[in-house]
Amino acid sequence: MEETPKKQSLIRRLCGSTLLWIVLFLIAFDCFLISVRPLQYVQVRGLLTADQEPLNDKLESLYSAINKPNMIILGSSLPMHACFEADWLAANKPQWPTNYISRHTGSEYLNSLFSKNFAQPIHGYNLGMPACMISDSEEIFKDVLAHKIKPKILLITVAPRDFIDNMAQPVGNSRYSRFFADRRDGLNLSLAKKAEENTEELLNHAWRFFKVRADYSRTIEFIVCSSLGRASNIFNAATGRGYKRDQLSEITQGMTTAPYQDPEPGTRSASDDLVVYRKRYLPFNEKRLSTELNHLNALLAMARQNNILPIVVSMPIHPQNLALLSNLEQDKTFASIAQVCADNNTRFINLSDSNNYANNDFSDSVHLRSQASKRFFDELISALETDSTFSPQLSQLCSNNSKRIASK
Amino acid sequence: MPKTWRMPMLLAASYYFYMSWMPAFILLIIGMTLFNWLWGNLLAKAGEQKKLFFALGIAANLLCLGFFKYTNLLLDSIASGWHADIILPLGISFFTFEFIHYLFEIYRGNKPMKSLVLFALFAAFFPTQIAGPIKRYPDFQAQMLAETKLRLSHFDEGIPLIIIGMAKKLLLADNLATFVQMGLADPHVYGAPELWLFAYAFAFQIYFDFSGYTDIGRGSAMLFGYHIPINFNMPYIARNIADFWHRWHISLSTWLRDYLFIPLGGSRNGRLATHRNLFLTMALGGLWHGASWNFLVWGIYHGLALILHKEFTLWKETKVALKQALASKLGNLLSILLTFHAVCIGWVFFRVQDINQAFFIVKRMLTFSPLMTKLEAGHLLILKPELPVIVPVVIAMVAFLLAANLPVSFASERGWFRKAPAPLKAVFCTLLILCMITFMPDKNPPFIYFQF
Repeated sequence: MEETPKKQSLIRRLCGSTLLWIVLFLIAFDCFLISVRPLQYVQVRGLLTADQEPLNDKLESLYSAINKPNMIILGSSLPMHACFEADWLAANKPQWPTNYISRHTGSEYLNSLFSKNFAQPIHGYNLGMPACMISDSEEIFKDVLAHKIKPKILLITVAPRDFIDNMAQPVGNSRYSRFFADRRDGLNLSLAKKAEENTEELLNHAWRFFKVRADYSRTIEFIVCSSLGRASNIFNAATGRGYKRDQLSEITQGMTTAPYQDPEPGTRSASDDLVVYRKRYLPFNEKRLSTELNHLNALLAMARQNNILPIVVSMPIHPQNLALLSNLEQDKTFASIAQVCADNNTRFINLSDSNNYANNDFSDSVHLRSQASKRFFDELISALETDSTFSPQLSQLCSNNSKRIASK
Repeated sequence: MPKTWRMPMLLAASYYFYMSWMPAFILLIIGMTLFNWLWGNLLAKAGEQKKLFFALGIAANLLCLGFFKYTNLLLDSIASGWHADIILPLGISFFTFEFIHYLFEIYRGNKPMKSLVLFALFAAFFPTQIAGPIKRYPDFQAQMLAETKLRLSHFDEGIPLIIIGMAKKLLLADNLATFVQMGLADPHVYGAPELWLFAYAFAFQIYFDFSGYTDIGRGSAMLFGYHIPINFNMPYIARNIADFWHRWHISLSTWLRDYLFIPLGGSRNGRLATHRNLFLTMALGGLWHGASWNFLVWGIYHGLALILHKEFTLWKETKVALKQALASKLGNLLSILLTFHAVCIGWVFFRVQDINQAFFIVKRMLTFSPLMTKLEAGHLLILKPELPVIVPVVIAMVAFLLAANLPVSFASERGWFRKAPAPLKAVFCTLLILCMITFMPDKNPPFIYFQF
């Protein structure tokens, strides 16, 4: 009976503590950010917030999936769009939100083709990522293997940009490398580091908001700059990179996440796209090509070591886009890819200059529209069917899998 | 922790904190501490030689401060361009003034501190070591000797103060600094209203910068159970320049009063002598801020303003109607506005190191000429859409600060924040933390008073 007043006074003291309330509010705010991820509803040109990073979503759902996929699809936005477009069309144009493109992990249409043509239950997982280089794909796949996920098939889609992009960050400093670096598990505190660096490291791990604070400041900055029609800083003002008022509408569009609609041909303006791709391709970066080929080699070797069947397929792209590279440069790129594949005993299906795609099949100079996406997967399956060794290999892989499941 | 360990541990932590900037200078602070402690004890026992010991002690401290702080000014005065590579030790102006205060108090008959550790901690206490407030040893000694335990209430008081201080610095002062820097990079292109705006911005920048530091220092000290006196008391609602100095950098202004103005004779020897003492005190106070002519001019400006105020006060006494008018609400408001603008003119001298440029800016501000520097018809240069977004944001911020100065001050005077329930205070602090982390600039300049 005597202890009750003491307890009450302790509770009252704790309730009256400003410090404890501050800590409580900060934790609550952080939980809100983690669960709601508000910035996923905001679309700002040139800014990809952590809330919007599709790789995070895709990997999280892959690692938490009960039924692990037996095929992984790697590549840039080309296979990412193709999987989405084909599935969307196959599902009879459902009301999927626009920002779902980068989060769509399925490849239902391709799965159905495997099932129909090879009578094998293939469950593909689309890990295509925007602006992904081959070196990034290797890093992504390493992470997949590190999480003890071993598919039967590794479908690597390639395009010339994936090997020679002049606008890409150096290997190890890309958006995906930074994502993996930031996502590392352990605290990396060290006496050799400055106190501020250690504090930053600690806060980044302890508090989500501290980690994503730049996303919030840049989004708010964008909104303010756009509303006032002014540049964000003196450098931008001096160089004429000021934000314009009309960009504000883009943010609100992002917030509404309107249902996806098949883009009209050339919606993303093929000519604008070609200007960008000219910068990406030229001058032809042989050094980067060689580096990325090494990573392709490593990726294929890694698949082989893990008894995974790799298939490399070159995506169809607009002839005008391909023509930005000289014949010599095209030959060099595709011959090198073919050589690396041959060295690793891997099938290389080159659909880059397929005649089955007309201007209307592209929404810009590289991305396929929905009908063309289906046709691409049809063409891929046809190419695999013509290979007499593929079907038995696939059957063997799938039966091994069934036996292993049965023995368990 | 056992009581006997607390002071040595706090001293070691304070020395470690100081060494994190430049380890070699720890020898300076230890050397000065040893000298002043020994000298203080000798001074207490000096008998007839007391005055000589006192003068020597003060001279030694001033020589040390002068060597580090004024050698380059002296060399430059002898021959333009002469320069010696002398690094100014952090906080030397502050801890030297604490030592001088200590010797003064011993000379005036107070007892010296027996414990070297306590004396060393008095000078090196990390929350106040770099930029004050300048402490008084009897008060601080009493706190050191008192039984202090780690209490949740200390954190409840200290942490909000630290958060408010950091928000003042990172959220307000540093963003205002970008704007001020932009304006003062080329003041020739701006008209009078724009230059006034830059002056307002700097007035708030320096206030938030310095009072922010003081809040962080006071909050940090409070975590250990120490109460450091306030250094600012809503200075921009001062009703006259004397009132301003009762509210601005209080620890320095009281130090100057006690150890410079009063020893010079104070106001005991007639009007002219009082004016001379005021003038000298403020001029030296200005020079204390830095070895640069602009600080001297700033000090002289305030000295003259104080003299003018004193004369006006005497004259006003004979004019009953004027006295009544100034005592009214409107009179008060006008007094506050006039004082604030006078202080802003002073800040131009403080901020602009090139004295010719400072006079140029002040001339434009006072003559309102040119009223507008038009690059485009109907536009103040500062409103040009090509300028970055920080411009309208800061203009709005300064307008808000000017408008909020009085209400916030009244709220503060009534202790609304202090008396608010804990969850409400916590909401306020949490919002400050979130705003601070989101909006602080990428690069934060050091505290302005670190250079002194």
